[in-house]
Parts: sequence; C-alpha cells; structure tokens
Amino acid sequence: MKSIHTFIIAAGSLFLTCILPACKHLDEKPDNLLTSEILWSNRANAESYLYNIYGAVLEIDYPHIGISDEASVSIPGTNVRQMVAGNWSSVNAYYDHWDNYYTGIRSSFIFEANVDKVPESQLSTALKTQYKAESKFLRGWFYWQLIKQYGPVVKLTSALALNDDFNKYPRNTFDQCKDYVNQLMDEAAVNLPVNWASSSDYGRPSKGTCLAVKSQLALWAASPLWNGNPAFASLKNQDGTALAPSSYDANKWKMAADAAKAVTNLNAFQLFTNLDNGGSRFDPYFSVRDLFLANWNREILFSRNSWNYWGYTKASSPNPGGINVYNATQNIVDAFCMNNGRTIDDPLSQYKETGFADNSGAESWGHKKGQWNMYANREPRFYAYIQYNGRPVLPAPTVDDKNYYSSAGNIDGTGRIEFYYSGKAGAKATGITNNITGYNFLKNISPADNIRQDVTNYRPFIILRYAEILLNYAEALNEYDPSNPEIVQTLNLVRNRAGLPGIETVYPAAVGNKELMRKYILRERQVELCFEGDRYYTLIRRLLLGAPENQTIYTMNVNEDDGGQGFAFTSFYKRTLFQKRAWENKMYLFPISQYQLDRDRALVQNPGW
Amino acid sequence: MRLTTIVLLFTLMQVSAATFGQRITLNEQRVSLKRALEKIHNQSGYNFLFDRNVLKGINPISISIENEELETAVKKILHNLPLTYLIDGNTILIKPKESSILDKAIDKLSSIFSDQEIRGKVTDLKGNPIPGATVTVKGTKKATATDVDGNFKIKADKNEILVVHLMGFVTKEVLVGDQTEIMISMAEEDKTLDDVVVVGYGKQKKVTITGAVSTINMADMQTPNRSLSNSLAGKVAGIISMQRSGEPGYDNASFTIRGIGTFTGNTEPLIIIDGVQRDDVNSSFGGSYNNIDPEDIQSISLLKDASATAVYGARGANGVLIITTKRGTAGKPQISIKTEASMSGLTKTPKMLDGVSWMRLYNEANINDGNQPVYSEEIIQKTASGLDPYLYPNVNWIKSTYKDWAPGFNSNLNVSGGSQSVRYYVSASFYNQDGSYKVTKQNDYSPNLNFKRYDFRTNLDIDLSATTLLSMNLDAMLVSSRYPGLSASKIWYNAYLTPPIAFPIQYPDGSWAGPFNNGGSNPLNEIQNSGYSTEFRPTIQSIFSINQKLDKLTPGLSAMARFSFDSYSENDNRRTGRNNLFLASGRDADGNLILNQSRVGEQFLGYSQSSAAEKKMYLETNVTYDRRFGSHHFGGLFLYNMRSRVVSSAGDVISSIPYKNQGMAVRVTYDYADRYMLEFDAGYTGSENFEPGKRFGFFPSVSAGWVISKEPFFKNLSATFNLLKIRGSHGVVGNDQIGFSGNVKRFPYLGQYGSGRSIGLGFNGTIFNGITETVFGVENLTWEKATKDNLGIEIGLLNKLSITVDLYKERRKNILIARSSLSGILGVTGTVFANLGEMNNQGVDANMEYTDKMGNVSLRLYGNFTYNNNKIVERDEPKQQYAYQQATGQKLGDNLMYIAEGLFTSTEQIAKSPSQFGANLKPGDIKYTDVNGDGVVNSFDKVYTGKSDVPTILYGAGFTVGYKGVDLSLFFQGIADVTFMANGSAVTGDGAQGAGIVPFTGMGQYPSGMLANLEDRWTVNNARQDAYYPRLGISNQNSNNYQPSTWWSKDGSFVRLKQATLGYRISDALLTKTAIKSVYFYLSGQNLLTFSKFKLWDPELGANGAGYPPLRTFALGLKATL
Repeated sequence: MKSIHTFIIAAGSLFLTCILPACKHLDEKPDNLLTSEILWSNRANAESYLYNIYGAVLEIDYPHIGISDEASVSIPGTNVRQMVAGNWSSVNAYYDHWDNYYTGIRSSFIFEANVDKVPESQLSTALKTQYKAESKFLRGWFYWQLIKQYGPVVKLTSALALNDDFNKYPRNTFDQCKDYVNQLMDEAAVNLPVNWASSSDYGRPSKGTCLAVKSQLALWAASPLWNGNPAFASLKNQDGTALAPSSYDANKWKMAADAAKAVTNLNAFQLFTNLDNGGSRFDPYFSVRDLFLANWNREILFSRNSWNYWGYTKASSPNPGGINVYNATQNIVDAFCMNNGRTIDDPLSQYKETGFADNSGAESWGHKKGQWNMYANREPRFYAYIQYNGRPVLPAPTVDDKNYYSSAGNIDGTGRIEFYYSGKAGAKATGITNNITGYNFLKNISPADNIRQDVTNYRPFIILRYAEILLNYAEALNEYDPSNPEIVQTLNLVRNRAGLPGIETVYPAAVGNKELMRKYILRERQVELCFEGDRYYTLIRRLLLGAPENQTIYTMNVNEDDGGQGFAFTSFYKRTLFQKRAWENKMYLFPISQYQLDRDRALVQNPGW
Repeated sequence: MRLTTIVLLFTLMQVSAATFGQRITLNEQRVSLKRALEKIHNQSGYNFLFDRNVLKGINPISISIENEELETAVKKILHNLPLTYLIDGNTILIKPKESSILDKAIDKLSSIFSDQEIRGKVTDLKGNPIPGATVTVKGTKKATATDVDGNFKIKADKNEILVVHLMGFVTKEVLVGDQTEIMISMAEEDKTLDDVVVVGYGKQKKVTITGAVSTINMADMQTPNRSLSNSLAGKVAGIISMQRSGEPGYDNASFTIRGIGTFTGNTEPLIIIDGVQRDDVNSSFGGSYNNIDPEDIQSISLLKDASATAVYGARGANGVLIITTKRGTAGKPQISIKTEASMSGLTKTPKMLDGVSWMRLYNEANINDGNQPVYSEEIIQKTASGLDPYLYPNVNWIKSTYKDWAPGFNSNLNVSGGSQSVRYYVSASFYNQDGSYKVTKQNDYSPNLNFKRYDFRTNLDIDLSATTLLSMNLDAMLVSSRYPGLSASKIWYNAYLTPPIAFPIQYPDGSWAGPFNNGGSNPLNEIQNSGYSTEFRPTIQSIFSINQKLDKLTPGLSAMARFSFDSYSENDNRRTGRNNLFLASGRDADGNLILNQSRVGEQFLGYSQSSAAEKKMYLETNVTYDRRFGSHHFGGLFLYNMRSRVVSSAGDVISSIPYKNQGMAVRVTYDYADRYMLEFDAGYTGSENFEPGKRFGFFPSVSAGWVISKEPFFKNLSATFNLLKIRGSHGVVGNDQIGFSGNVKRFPYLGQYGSGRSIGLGFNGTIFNGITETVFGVENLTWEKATKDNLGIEIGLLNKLSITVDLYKERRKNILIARSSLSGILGVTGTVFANLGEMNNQGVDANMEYTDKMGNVSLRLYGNFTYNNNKIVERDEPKQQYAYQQATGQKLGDNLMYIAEGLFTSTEQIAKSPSQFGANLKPGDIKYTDVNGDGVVNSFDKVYTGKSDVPTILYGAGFTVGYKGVDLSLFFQGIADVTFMANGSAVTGDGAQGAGIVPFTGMGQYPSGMLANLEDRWTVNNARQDAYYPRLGISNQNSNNYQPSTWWSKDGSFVRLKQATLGYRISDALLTKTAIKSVYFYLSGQNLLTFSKFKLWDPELGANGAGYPPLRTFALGLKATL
C-alpha cells in the first residue's frame, strides 16, 4: 500500500518537471529562416531580391486589350469594359498600379543601399555595379509608367520609413519627374552594355533600353498632352505649384527626335525579318509575324522573358479552342492598307467592301477564294495580326485540331473560323450577352501552339522594340523639320519590312507636308504597333482619344441569325455600330485612387476626377 | 509493520509511567489535551507518545467520562479532533488523522476488536430505494455503495457515524449507536441552492458563483442535429449563433459568446472538453466538439465574464464553453439506448423563374436598355407549349437538383456502472445523413452526399485508494463521408446561374446536355457526373489524470495532474472528372435531334488526394483547496499548464513551428455562510507568438456576490423569494489568437522574407524566383487585452421561477491589426502590424425558467434573451474625406451603402438630379441621395446605417408540458436587428457576381437564371414605387440599380420553430416485469416553421442566397434504459 506515497511523489515531481523545463517551452521561433542579415550576406538571396523588383514590370495591361479603338473585350463586366462605359472613378480606380510601382521603387532603394554588403568573394564589384544599374533602370521605368498613367507623381530619392508623416509628400512637377527618369536612365546606361553579349542576360535592360525609354519620354513630353496643354493649367499642388508645363515649347520635338536618334546611333538594333530566322527569301508576312515568336531578335529593346502566353493565346483565339475574349474592332481592320500600300479610303486602293473574292491571294498566307472582299488583297500585316471570319485558325497544328473549329458542314482540314451567328465561334455558341466583334487578335499567336489542347511555346513578351523608336523619330522629326528626308527614310524602314512600298511612291504629296505626313506616320504606328499598348498612349499624348471617331466602335454584324447559311451569310459583313464609348476629357489621366489620397493628404487629384 | 521505526521519526516526549486500573473517570472543563492525556496516564499507567506539533492548534477540550474503558475514553477525548490513536502494548500513540498505512492498521485493529457489521437501506423521502449511494464511516476509509435495492453492508463501531452521499441528495450522517439495521432516508438537494456548476478548472456551488456562468439544460440539446454548435442556438443567453450552411458535415453554426469583441483576430470562444482545450481539434472542420453526441454530455457551461475566464488568461477574452462528458457511478450496468430515424429536407428553396417568364422578362430588360428583344414570340410559344423540350427547354434547375427528403439515422448506446473502486461510462454512437441531391448511382458510383460518424467513448474512474483517483478518457471518433465532385456552394451557384432555357438536362438518348467551351454548366450533370470525393477524419482525444487528496497535509487540499494528447487527421480521396456533353442545334430532315458534342469528357475519373494532420499535447498540474471553518469557506486553486499544437501539413516553415502556450492560474474564493462571496482570479499566460520578454501577460479579475435572500432581515420575504442574489466582476482577459484571420501572420515581431515575384531571363526565359519581405518586423507587439465588467442579478421566486439578468461591458485594446494608414508611396510589400485596434462591446443577457406541477400536469417554461452591440474605437484608419465615411466609431459589419430615395418618376426628375451611375438613367431606376451635395452620386455618398449582418438581438423560448406519460415541447428561436445586403454581391462563383439576383447578369455563355420574384418589378405601365425590383435591364454589380444601397438592405430578422417534440413514456407499471426500466417514444421536428419578413430564401443564410439552407428534419425516436 505504498501507492499513495508513490502518487504523491509522482504528482509532486510531475509538477516540478513541468515547471523546470517550462522556462524554455515558449522559446519557439523560426530557426534557420531568412533574415535581413542573411539576405545581404549571400549572393543568391541578393539576386533574388533584384528579381523580385523585376516582378513589378507589367505585361498585358489595359492598353493592350481594349481601352482604345483597336480592340474590345467580350465580357461586359471586365474592367476595361467598365472603363469605356464610364463606370470609373477614383474610388473604383481600375488598373491602379500605384502600389505596384511604388513597391518596386522602394525595393530598388533597398537593393542599392544593401547590395554592397554581399561579400566580394560571392559577388564581384563589377556585378554589383551592373545590378545597381539594373535597379536604377527599373526605378526609372516604374516612374515612367506612373507618369504615363497618372501624370507627375511623388518623386522619392530614398526609401521612406514606417513612421514618416506621409502627408508631407506632395506630387512633384512633370518636369521634375521627367528629369528624374532621364537621370536614372543616364546613370543606368553608364554601367550597362549596349547590348547583352551572353544570351543568358536577355531580358535585362541594356544601354539601348535606357536610351529607348528616354526616347519614349521625350516624345511624351513633346506631345500636346504635356506640352503646354491648357487643360492642365489647373493641376496645381496645394501650395500653388503648377505641376504641368504651362507653355508650348516646339524645341521639345527636336529633343524627342534627338533622343530617338541616340538609340539608332548605337547601331545595335535593326528590324527583324524572316531572314534572321533562317528564311531564304524575304517575306513580309513571316517577318512581321515571327518577330514576336522568335526566342530573341535584334529588334527587341526591352522584353519580359516570362509571361502568360497561354492566357493571352486562349483569350485571343476563337471558340471553341479559345474563348474569344480579346476582339479586334472594325476600326483597326480599316486601318490596314491594301497590299499596294494605299489606305482603303483611297479610290485607287482597289478596296471592295462587298461580295466574295473570286480568287485567292498570290501568297500562301493571303486571302482565299470565297472570303469576303473586305479581306482580300490587304497588306501582309493584316493577315499576320487579324483573325477574321473564314480565316483558318492559327494555333492548331494538325488537321484534327483544325477541324475542331469547323461545324459539320465546313470540315475541310483548314479550320476556317466561324464568327457568324450559328458558327462554332459565333454569337449563339459563345453566348448572346457576349459582344464579339467578328475579329480576334492574331499578333503574338504562334502556329506551333495548340490552344485547343492548351499547348503553348515559349516566346518573350516584347515591351519595347526598335520599330517604335523609328516611328518616334519620324514623328518627332516631322514636327520640327518636315522637309528632312530622314522622315521618309525612317518611315519606309518600317513600311518596307511590312512589305509595303515607300510612302513617297504611294503618297508623294505627304512628303514635306507636316499635317499629311503626320497622318500617315500615326496610321503606320497604329498598324505596326497594334495590340501592343501603343495605340492608347499615342491617342492620349496626341489628345486624340476623345475624338468621336476614336470613341465610336464598329464590328461585324455578329448577332444576326444567319439561318444556317454559314459563311454564305452576307449580312454578317454589315458594319455594325457596337459602342459609342463614354468619354470625358479627364480620362486623359487616370485618377489617383481615393485610397492613396486618404493616406497622403498632400496629393492633389488629377483634373476632373 | 515496524512501528518502532515510525515512532523514532517523531520527536518524543514520554510521560512517566505507572501501572493502574483500566477504567477511567474524567470530568474536566476547558482543559488542554495534553493535560487530559496526562490524567489518563495517571489513572491507567499507559504511556502516550506524540509529537509536540501534533497538539499545536488544538483548542482546550471539555470531557465527561464515567468509568469507561481506557480505549473508549481515548476515543471520546479525541472525538471531533483531527487526531487518532494507536495502542501498542501499554503505549498509546497519538497522531494526526491521515490516510496512510497507519490508518489502515488502525482500521484493521479496530475492526478486529470492535466493529460490527451494519446492514442498512437507503431510500428517498418517499421510500423508493436509492442505488449507487456511497456509504462511508466518518473518519475512516471504510466505504461501500448501495445496491439496486438501496441496501448496503458495512462494518462500523457503534460510536461511529455513517455518511451517505449521492449527487443530487443532501448528504446525510447517522450515528450507528446500537442499531445493526439502519433505514436511512435522503432528501433531494434543493437544486437552486446546491447545484454545482462546472467552471474554469473546477466546480463551484452555483449559489456562490460570482462570475457570469450559464449552464445549458441538456434536455434541450436532444436534437437530431449533427452539430453541437448548431443545437446551441437560442438555448442559452449570451450565445450569438448563425448557421450559414446546412450541408451535412459543414453545417456548424458560427458562434461567439457575447458578440464580437475584436475586428481582426479570432472571435471564437475557447472550447474546453473535460478540462482540456479542444477548440482547434479538427478546427478546419468546425471543431471536433461539434461531433460529440449530446447523449454523452453531462453538462455545458458558458463562461462569459472576466471573473469566469481570467484563469484562462490570454485565451479567455472571447469567452469559454466547457463541455463535460458523462462519467460512471457505482452500481449494476445501466444501459441507455437512443435511436432515431429521420427525414430531412431543405427549409426553403428559392423559387426560380420558369423559361417563359424568363424570356419575356429578358426581352423586357433588353427593350428597357434600348436593344431589340432577343426571343421571338414564336420561340416563347414553343417553349410554353413544352412540345419539344429538347430544342426549347424549360428547366427548373433548383427543383431538378435538390430533392425534398433525404433519410438519416442516428443511434447511441451507453453503459455506465462499476464497483466502488472502478467506475465506467462507455458509449458508442453512430450518425448517418444523406444529402439532398437528386442523383442516383450511375457509372458505378453514387455521387450523393453521405455523412457518417462513429464515436466511441470510454470514461474510466479508478480509486487507487480512498484519496487517489485515477481517471482516463478515451474518445475515438471517425467521420467518414462522401461528397459530390464539386462543392455545395458551387452546385448552388450553378443552380442559380443557369437559365431555364439554356439546355435540357439530358437528351432522349441519355446523353447529357451542356454548353460549348465551359460557357456555363448543367447543374445536375455537374453533380451526377463530376465524380465524388470520400473524406475521412479520424480523431483521437485522450485524457489521463490523477487526483490526489492531500487532506493529511491540510484538510481540503488536493492536487491533480492531467495529461492529454489529441490527434486528428483529414484525408480526402477525390475522383473527379468530366463527361461528354452535347448540345442540340436543331432537327434534321427526319426530325431527329442534331447533337453536337460540346465537351469531350474523360473516360475515367481522375484521382487526387489531400491530407492533413495535427497533434495537441497538454499537461496540467494543479493544487486546490476547499475548506469550511464554521461559516467561513475558503477555496483556492493554483494551476500550471502547457500546451503545444503541431500541424503536420503546415505547408510552410512558419506554420510548421509548434504553436505553444504556457500559463499559470490562481483562484482564491471566500464566502461567508453562502451569503457574502469574494473571488479573485488571475491567469499568467504566455504565447510563443511574441518576442522574448513580451511573451507573458498577467490577467487578473475580482468579483463579489451577495445572496440577499440569506440575510436574516430577508426572512419574511423568503417564502416568496427563495433566491435573491447580486454579483459583479471586473477584470482583464487576453486574446493571443491573433493569427487567424486575413493575412495576419505568426511571429509578427520578426521581419520575414518569402517568395516574391519572378523574372524570366535568357534565350528560353528561364525563371528566376524573387524574394521579398512578407512580414515587416515590428517590435513591442503583444496580445489583445479585454477589460470586462459584469453586473448580474439572480432571482428565484416560489421555488418555481428563476430569472438571471446580466449587464456587461467590454473594451478590447491592443488589437493587433495590419496598419492601414500607411501610404502607398512607402511601398512596403509585407504586412505591417501594430497593436493599435480598440473596440467596445456591451450588452445584456437574461435567462428565465419556470417549472410547475399541477396534479398530473407538469410544465416547464423557459426563455432567454441576448442583446449585444459593439463599436470600433480605433483601427488605424486614415481620416476620411467625409467624416460620415469613417469606419472608426461604427459597428463591426456595418457597411457603407447609398441611400435609396425611391425610383425615378420622370426624365425631368432625372435631368434635375445629381448624376448617378451609367449614362442611361430612366424612370424606374433607383434614385440615390447626394449626401455631400456635390452634384454627383459617387462613392463619397455612401453612408453607414448602423445595421450589420451580425444580429444584435437573439432570443429563444420554449415550453414542455407533460401529462402522465405524454409530453409536448416546442422551442422557438429568433434573431432581430439584423440586416443584409441582398443586391447579389454575396452570390459569387466562377461566373458573375449576383447570379439569380441581379437581372440577367452573366459572364459565361448565358445570362443568369433568375428568382421568380423578378416578376415583382417596376414597369412603364405599372410604375410602382414598392416593387421589389427597379426597372429591369441587363445588369451587373456596377449597374446603377445594384449598387449597395438601402434599397437592397433587407431585414434579416426571423423567428423559427426550431424544435418540436411529442413524446410518450410507457408507464412504469407496464415495465415492472421486464428488465427494462423505461421506454420513451418521440416524434420530433427541427426548423419546422420560419417567420420572416424576407421571403426569398432562408434568412439565416444572410446575403448569400445561393447557399445550402438549414435542414428541416422530422425524426422518430426511441429511448430506453435497461
């Protein structure tokens, strides 16, 4: 019967054994975890920190998918559709990238302040210098994107602290922001190569990238939006500081032309052609198409070498393999020239809007007999960039895949897309609430992909390419020196690569005529850079987006029942008014979101918002 | 028995010895014990051995002995003293009474020399035998229990006292005297005064409790519900409970005690089962406590104020729910059986528009929008005729998806009993419930939901000695269920989303219909043919404890150690896949359907699995003290515990680190004559979540009570007022469970880095992953502190009516929040924490119960009421441009909305009004108030309305009336002062927000199906301001008419007939010849009726009408005891 004692002792000692080791019971903390000391003592971590900054560079965004007249998104609830319907304010600030870019900006400061802590044995001084240059480029890039979207923003030169009074950071002026971006680009350019020697560095900015950004920014500053725009006279800080330049300065066009010329002068970039890709004979179609599909080429000035090309292809492709979300408009279709280099409104262009084509085009990639005349004999870029009714599907490699796109009666192994009402990509199958236009994007779509099976192949996402710099140059030069022969030369580089004759042969009257030439340059830009986000920003900086013709969107007559006629249904090809988009001039700038205004009381809102 | 050894242990004082006679005569008044013993020594010559310390504290005694035997004399002297004796030769050892081998020796000796066997019978006051009562001989270890007939046998000396004890009866003491046959009758305890209530780490007499503690009448918990939290609603004051889903297995109610005290961290109460924290056992599944069969529960206590919860320190701020399971009592095996068969249906399924009305209204919406009508009269007529349902389908998807009744079954068998030293309670229960999907077994599997639960429980109590109790609880539970291949919420969403005219369910050849390219879904097909998942969730919960009485150190002291481990896992095997779908495009020349394959399915179902597991370890040691000195009663508790919880499937380093807690608790109670009570409670607890030096917090509380009805001056009133008591408490409790909601992470004091965004580099775009700050380390973080006050009054009238009312107030500070006033230009990626939040919470709760018996009729009436309101005091909110948009100062859950003034009546009115949403406003659209008067209605014109979807008023009321063997009970439960935003924003799925509610919204191929209520709309010809829907249009959440506004803010109050039971107990007379003790049949119903102003769906679902509503259940049951 010693059990009682035993238990007393047991209970007592249990009590003690609990208390004694107890002091350490809570000494639980994440061991072996990444802390800031470890982060900056190790090359891999420091590099990863830099990669994260790159993550703030955006890919497909609102300008690519339907905020301008070139495109529409089929789903009415999506943000771009809300924006073009005018359902847009500082409170539901769509595509509000403010936080995204400022986190990138903060990280770039932290990176530059700390990367030198990594031991030399792991990371050489040369690499540290290069990385800091990349970080500076990225900060400049983020500011540049903020300027495009919001106008001048808060310029920071170091990371802020948690307990800072954020209410004392007003917006800087447009010129201060612009100068800061130029300064960062200059600083970065010093320590970056003209072009990357090793392919493993593709995707990093080069000296060429820095200069190209300066070209973009210079053109932006010269354009009417920020060059003495009276609408921005009211854009002032609370202390009265005017944020926009108040008067027009014609010299800014010269600066813009010089900035573009600086890129050209590097002699490191050229327009891609299919010859670069192993082609034996120059072919404009394969040149303008494969420019986007090659793993790398010398036209690329800045790219993001990882992006969701599957999602883009899926959304751009027609049903049933794709989902028909990104739609090209009749407006952009009409902007493409005929293959003789003439615009379709030109009586000499031989453009016909009615009837079916009697013959196929000369090239394999051209139109086919029986397709609507509207699509016949257009310029090569039309076939490379526009999916129209009856044009065979591209991302479908096998006959079986192609047939998948055809109704029973249309199966012929080519996969002609059926945008008509009862077709497989038509309004009936895709839903009557969805407003498709009768066109999809074909740019950046690869024939090696199989979107029905969701198979896609690698390609970089090109953010900035040399063709844009050439067009920047032509445009700026035309504004201050319309008689300069380099205008025609530069513009023709782009036209010739696209298989079009020189502008001076088609429209000689434009040569030396500033207004006329401007029209052709902007049209060239519209076609060459379609679906690349440029159209929206060109219309913005030229103060053209609000023009009624750019807000009135036409489509094909997709919602009329073809009664089983299929491709033979001619009413399909009736131009149909789709949208008169809601426009107010305040939309030339995005609103600064109320969330940000609430957290920095020194910020002033953009005019009209 | 080497007595000498023991004797040598004492400091001895020998009294001089001589030889004298054995008869003693002694008459002394107020003489010291030592002096009395000396006199006996002088008379008898026996030597007395004792430790000086033994006599310390013994008051002078008065003795009157006439010619008694020596031993009797010694006994009489020591009677009522904490001393005992041992005679060895001519030496008498005097020693403290204690439980030791010496006691045993004494007992043995005395039994040899003097004990006689006593026979007795214990009955109640009516003479019915009482089995299972414990009979002990006072001051000895001798004990026995009464048998079934109340009989007992025990050896006792005639001077000894028998103590008869049984829970629920007044303990009785009887002097043996010369009797050998003793009849003992026991009175039932006056329950209101002597009820014992389970409180934090112990039990207290109900009348002396000074904190706010409610208990739940277990009789009210006998429902066919699977989930315990679900049965709690309305049963007791202070519980705020809402059941947001009725899907079997996922139907737990979310509940809080006394409302919501914090706006970020965990708000759920601590759940204690049999003394061990178990709220997070199977927490991802609502907590395993929900699966305990109510038959196995002895009691449920609700600890509500700081006094009651302070001992839980940093875990007590949200209140504590203590569940105690049943234990065995000595006696023959008592067998109880309960078995129930039930049929369950959905309380309310929404009525949907039929195809014809849908098309007409869709046309109307299009015309209103300025478009052409879409459906021609011909198509509408073809659909209406129903002649070709394959080309012109008209399907009510909700009716095709859900069936009216699904069977269920549950059963519990438990056995309790035991001998005097080993007692047991073992039980087994089984629960089975089918889902309400209208599916069948096809393709070799049935996808219908089936929920099964097995629950085995063993509670053992073993008296290792009279002072040592070893207890062990083992509970093994298995939930084994099957679910369709997609979630219940998805199924509901699909049934809402799919329009009636989209496609038929199946074509005549048996092929299933569905759209191309996933442009919508066929709801029934998705359930029937998407596969299934089987889930099993075993849980083991165990407790091993030893309780040692330490009366020998000082009477009333005991110590206890408890160790517990719990482990559970969740294991899912999923077989999911897609089948072929077809869509008819027309009929061929022969009139046969032309079917196009719209989806290519998979031949076999795919396979995937997931599993997760957790373990919990808990260790507790405590010392308690409970002793009465006359009218003074002291109680004390000192406790130490530690706990650790490990998640095996944590998924990241931070979550894989054990969650650890450690704490101490102290309780000191004092009461004088059950009249004046004073209590101090404190917890000192620590959590691993904070930085060293900040881990521990001290949480004290004081409380006091006064039982006025026990005052002498109250005597005249006591015939009416059997109880009048007031009590109050004040204290601080904490909440360290700050890592539960949103992105609040663990170890917020440490800067943490995690994976960030990435970049592709090189010719093939090799991905390089980035790292970024995920948590921005901030120093000096600590737990939430809740300061709580409580004032309560308890009234008992005529021994029939009892009323308890509590007023309470809480101020929660240091709420750990993610900073929200940080500007975007700061550019921090991770969350930044700060103890900045503050919130107030206050309310009233009250319970009432009335019981009476009039002849053969018995009546019990009960009710409870809870009112609770809260206010956010601080949440690091930047100053809003308009003060009325400041969330600070508002109620939690109060959302900004527009003020709807009504519907526009004319285009002139629209032209004169501030601009609103969209450019094409027309009469019949909602007109909003331009609150800031800037000429534009935009989000600055949203205001707070003071309404929330968390109810401020909850109540429950019911009665039971019995007549002879028949009884009927009804229980109503309700909530009030609750609103929800019925603009569809809560109806979310893969497609459009607001499916079924926002007219013809849709993101896929089809505009959404619609509630039949869409007919109740504004039209040009019937321009009613009181229409449910404004002017129709193709709308979405951004449309003018579906902005969150007072138009869509609906009153969510309801009253439910939650339970109704009609029962019949077979009279005892019929059972006398059988082994059966009682048999009770009953028919019960759950959620039978609902009364609410809101008619479209079950109001308890709140804003998300597309949810699995609570079940309406009818059950037929039988209970028997053997």
